[in-house]
Amino acid sequence: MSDRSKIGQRFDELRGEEVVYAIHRQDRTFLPSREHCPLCPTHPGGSETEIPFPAFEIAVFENRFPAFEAPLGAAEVVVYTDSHDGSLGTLPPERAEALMWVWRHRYMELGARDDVRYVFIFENRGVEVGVTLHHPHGQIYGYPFLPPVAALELAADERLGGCAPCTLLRGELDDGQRVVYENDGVVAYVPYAARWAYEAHVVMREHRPSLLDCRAEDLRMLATGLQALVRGYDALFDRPFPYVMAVHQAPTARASAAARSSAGSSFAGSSSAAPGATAGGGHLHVEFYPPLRTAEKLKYLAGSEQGAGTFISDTLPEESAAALREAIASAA
Amino acid sequence: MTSAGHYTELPVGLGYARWMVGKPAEPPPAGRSEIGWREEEGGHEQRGERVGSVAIARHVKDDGRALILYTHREREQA
Repeated sequence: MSDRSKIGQRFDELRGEEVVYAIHRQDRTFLPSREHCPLCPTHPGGSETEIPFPAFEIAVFENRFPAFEAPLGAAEVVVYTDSHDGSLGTLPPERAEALMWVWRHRYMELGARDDVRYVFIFENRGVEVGVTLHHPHGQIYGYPFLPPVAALELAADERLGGCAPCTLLRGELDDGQRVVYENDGVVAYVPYAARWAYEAHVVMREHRPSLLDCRAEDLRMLATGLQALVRGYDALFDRPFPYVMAVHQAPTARASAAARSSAGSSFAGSSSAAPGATAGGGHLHVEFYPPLRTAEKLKYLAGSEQGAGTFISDTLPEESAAALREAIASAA
Repeated sequence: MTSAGHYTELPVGLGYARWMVGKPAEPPPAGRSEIGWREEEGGHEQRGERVGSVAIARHVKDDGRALILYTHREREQA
């Protein structure tokens, strides 16, 4: 288990949101050399890493420096490959597809826990977004509460009278200007109200509340779409493209039931669903927030974004989409 | 520590997640490396689990944390 002295959360009454304190994380491994990478396999005669095997394909382990820990949530690391180099975009297609199954499995198991209200799969890529380990990997947090962004998406369902991502996807397909990639399973677009210059959402074409609702072909198409986008990002400025990748899907049953109850909602879904099942709300999609606005310039969250909560963007989504669409095509 | 609103402190050394199976890791038998022992004997892994095209092997690290290895298998014909 972690050697943390305490993990805690406080409720910010002014903003109406939880803040998590995980003080031990100050001491976590920070940009180690390749020789000391804790996510590489353990080679015979070498020091033991987090994965005590000489080779592996995909590994998941409980974070040594967790932000959440049972009985109030979970924090896991997902290592995409035993190769120190590369990215989600450069994995062999079958490995990327396997990663979707891993995500699905973790969503199922963590979502079945009583202390997990929302399973959040994500990846931070690049030092620009605070990465501390370069080895290709992502993370999973099992929140013991429904986090604000997930709650906002449920609220959007309420506001639009049904599945918000379904409605928005129809709009993007009808408009077409911001669509950057399509296959039989997913559509990727720069959203109409993108906050980041090259923000993109990869959305399941059919209504799939969560990974658990996906068929094998859905997962294959999702993997293909994610890889196409990441390769396109890298081609855009001919450099590894930093981003935050956020997998949004249905809260697990207890959380969404509680959200519906508090909202007095009649939106589809059974409040008596079994723990671990998805219940009402949610449409699986993956959001990317890249901080670059040019090859060399970063978008910072400054006064308006932090102090007022309003993004000021320097680029039009339609223009970004045109550039990104071209980059994806060139990288195919 | 004072708090406005609620603050939940977790004691150190809480139990493993309830889904976790297996026992805390034991040292390898004499004369065998940790890696080799785990590789040959499977360590504490639970065999036979599978999800989609992926085989699952569960382990427990020496410090009690869960480790799961996923290995891609060829898709079965429908």
